[in-house]
Amino acid sequence: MPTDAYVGGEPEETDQSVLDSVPISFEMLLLLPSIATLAVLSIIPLVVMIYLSFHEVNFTPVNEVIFLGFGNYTQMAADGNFWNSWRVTLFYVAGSLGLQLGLGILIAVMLHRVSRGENLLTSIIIMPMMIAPVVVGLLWQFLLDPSFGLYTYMLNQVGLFVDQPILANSTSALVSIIIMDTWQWTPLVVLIILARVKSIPQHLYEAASVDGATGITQFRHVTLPLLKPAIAIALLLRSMDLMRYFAKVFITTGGGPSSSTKVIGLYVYERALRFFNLGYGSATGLVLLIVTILMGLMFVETIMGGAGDE
Amino acid sequence: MAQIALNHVSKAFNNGSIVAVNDLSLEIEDEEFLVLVGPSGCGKSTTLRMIAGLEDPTGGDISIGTTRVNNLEPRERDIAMVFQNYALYPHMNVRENIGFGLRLSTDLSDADIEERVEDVASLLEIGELLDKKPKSLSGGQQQRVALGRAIVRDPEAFLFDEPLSNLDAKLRKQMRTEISRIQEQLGVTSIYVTHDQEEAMTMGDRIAVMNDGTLQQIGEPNEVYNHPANQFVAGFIGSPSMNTVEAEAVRRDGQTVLESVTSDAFTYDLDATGDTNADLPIEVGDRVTVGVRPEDVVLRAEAAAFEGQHHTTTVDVVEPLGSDNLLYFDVGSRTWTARVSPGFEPESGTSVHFSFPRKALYIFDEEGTTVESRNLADPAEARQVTHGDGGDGVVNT
Amino acid sequence: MSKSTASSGLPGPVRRYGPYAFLGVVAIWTLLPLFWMAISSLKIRRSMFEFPPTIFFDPTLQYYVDMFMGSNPVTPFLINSIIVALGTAVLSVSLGTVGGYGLSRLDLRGKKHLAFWIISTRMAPIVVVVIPLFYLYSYLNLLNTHLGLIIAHTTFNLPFAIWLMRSFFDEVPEALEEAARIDGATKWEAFRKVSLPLVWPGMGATAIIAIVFSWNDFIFALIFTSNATQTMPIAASQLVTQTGTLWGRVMATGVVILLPMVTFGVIVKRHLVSGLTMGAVKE
Repeated sequence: MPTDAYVGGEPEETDQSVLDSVPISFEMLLLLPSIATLAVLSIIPLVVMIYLSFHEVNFTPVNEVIFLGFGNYTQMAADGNFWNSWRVTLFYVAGSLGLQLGLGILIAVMLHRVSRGENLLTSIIIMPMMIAPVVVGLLWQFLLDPSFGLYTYMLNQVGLFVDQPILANSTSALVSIIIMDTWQWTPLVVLIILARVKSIPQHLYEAASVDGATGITQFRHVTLPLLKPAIAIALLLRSMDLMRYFAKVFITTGGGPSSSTKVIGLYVYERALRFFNLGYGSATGLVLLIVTILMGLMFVETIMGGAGDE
Repeated sequence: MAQIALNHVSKAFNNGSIVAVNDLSLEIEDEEFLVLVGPSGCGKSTTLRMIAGLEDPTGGDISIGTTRVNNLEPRERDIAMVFQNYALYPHMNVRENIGFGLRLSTDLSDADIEERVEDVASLLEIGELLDKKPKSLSGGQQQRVALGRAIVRDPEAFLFDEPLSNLDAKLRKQMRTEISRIQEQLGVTSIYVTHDQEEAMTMGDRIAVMNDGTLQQIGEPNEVYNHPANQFVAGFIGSPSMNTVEAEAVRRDGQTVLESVTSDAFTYDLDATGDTNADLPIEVGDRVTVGVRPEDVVLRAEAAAFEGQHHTTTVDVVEPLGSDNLLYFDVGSRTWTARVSPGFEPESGTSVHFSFPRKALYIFDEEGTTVESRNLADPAEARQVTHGDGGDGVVNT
Repeated sequence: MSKSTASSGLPGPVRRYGPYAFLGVVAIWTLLPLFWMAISSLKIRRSMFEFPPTIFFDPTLQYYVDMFMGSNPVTPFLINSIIVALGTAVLSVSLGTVGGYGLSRLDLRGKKHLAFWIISTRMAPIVVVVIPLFYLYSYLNLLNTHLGLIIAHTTFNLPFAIWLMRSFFDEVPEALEEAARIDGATKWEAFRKVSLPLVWPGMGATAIIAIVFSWNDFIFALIFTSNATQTMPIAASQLVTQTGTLWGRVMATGVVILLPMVTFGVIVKRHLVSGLTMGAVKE
């Protein structure tokens, strides 16, 4: 058994810094201003939103808030436009993700293969990501204009969309906004995949070559499995952003023709802030929020292995 | 300069589910060089970090000098620490790295700081590196800068947290000597944490061996080596490790004999030399573990070379080290090692004979506590198992 | 290159130059709209609407001159954009640096949940944040103010800044701070004098990406601002009128909006992946 050892006297009063006297940890103290700010910026609006979703809010002729109970929610369940927007969103998100992922992997792998010009090429492909959605929307509207658009002209040359405005047809309008988003955001997928591809050790390929795997086989059995985490990150980041933003669609098609491109974000916006039905807009917005948060949860839990306690 | 004392210090993590350090009491004398040694996870680093103030103990008192420092911040403890990865500030050059502590904790003028930095740099022979960034230095140079940062503040104590483990073997030996030299020259109380028993043996005034958060033994290197408190210490200190075999004490022909448990590979007659075993606290029927240091094992090709008891075995592997050879062979289910002269290099598979003097024997009881440790004033005594003094004669055990 | 061995079945030149050809097409696909935008902003009205479109024309800077000197100049919009982008960047980066450091070093069992809550505030669809904020702003008189828009942009920039800065601080070994504390530093000094200087590049990247997000925002600006505080994207959208779109001005305004951001993007290229993935991907 250990014996007792010497115990010194208590120290004289030392210069305690102010930080030492605070009951919470130093780290928490530093985090507190951010938490407080975010709490104000997220919890209060959330509470307000939940509150609004059970009410009808009027601004004219007088400001008034009428309690509806679940009225907004029952109305939503029966609202064909609401469900239509989810259907459009599904096509929009699935189509964009598929295109961007396929192209993204292809471009990343090719970029990794070239020995020269990679730096210049990455500088070029990141450009669209930096551009304001409004500008992207206007630019594509300009390119697809039926009477003077460059892309319309090029398509006409191969016999497509002659005298058929591209953005006036339900299907081609939806495809157009998917391609527009793909033009802008495939680069992000490329960067994510490329970072991963670069980290695959060369000896794995050498080992695979020794085992007789080359070209496509090597890609399928060596590269692709190792890309899985990166693919998951890319998919979820992109899907969340596709749900969050709608400015490009708003500018280019405004949701038309006949609601064929009215993604859910745009739909909620219109209900709440164009027709000023804040109550109903809040109810539909909450559903959108829940769907997005669930996707975000998947992102943090499955891909990043938790937010990282260790 | 100051003594350091730990009084019943404990540290638990995760609300007590992991006990890193358990009821540790320890006194380090002024100017002493104490080495805390043990396998990874034994709590030695946690102990050091508690002394530094980087971890708060969950129980007990830590004193530096005449002050109980439990409630003091690291900066108020007047200690210096050298980290495993050196922890040099990457954005500062060597001069700023070494002077950082002085700038923060003293009122010295820039000129005074500069002078002390230069002094320390010349002591460590890094004067020409002062304007370089850590990134451009070699591992050994970074190590010197880290030492300089500790020395320049003239602290009450130095704390070393495995400072040499990132260096290659040759540099490690060189820095070992250097650290010892500087510590002696400056006379600063030092605590040095390592998992390397050789480092512990060569550097420490005293060694404290820890395992599973508990202090196993504290003592001078030779004391710990020759008289380990228990089987753990016996096995941990010394390289190659001590040879052991589990045995049972039996009476045979009026003699007390240790007989190996797993097979009949090994018996050792305790009474053979005629020495009295009266004070040996072993009863017939007791289970014990028998231990012998590799250098105490005597191996010969001919059975006739032994005068008294000996055993026959087969050589597994021979490892030539130049200065001597290591021979591996089986005793019961254990592999034993013997350190023999470089001239003795039998083929593997050869049958050989071995024995060891009664005085070289270690005996541990069932709890692992040492019952008897070797009693060789001079390790060369081991040679006397065999005939004559050249080692080729007949044994007189 | 050992990764494409001889037996992959494709003829050598295809394997060697194939990637370049493919990436060339990708580069054209990426740059063509931007190129078209740039030259359209230099075309006089008549040649802009020619069909088939023309590449050779007499360039004019008329639209750029009009943009600043003509009717409805963009100058006030530009100033508003700069005020708001800098405001939210300063707010987000300062809070985010301190908070990100706290989050990185925090030893707390619910840390994972805390971190997730922080980032979840950024995952919220824009419109979900807009609706209640609009309601609150109408009571707090924050509609049509710079501060209102700065706060609104902070809702998406702050959580992003915290996570990104946290990932930068995670790379600073804690031993450095411990060494500093033993050297005589308080915890604050260890943060301020040792860790902070090591994440300067990270802070710069965070600031630039926050500026890009704020500068490019349209929906918040559309809802929370009117005449006095509107930003550049609103200026661009207002050029689409009932009587027709002033495409020359649109293209010129677009160039003015995108040029600084594209420049920023190329500058922080190295940090862009970890920035846009909030530190989930490191290069």
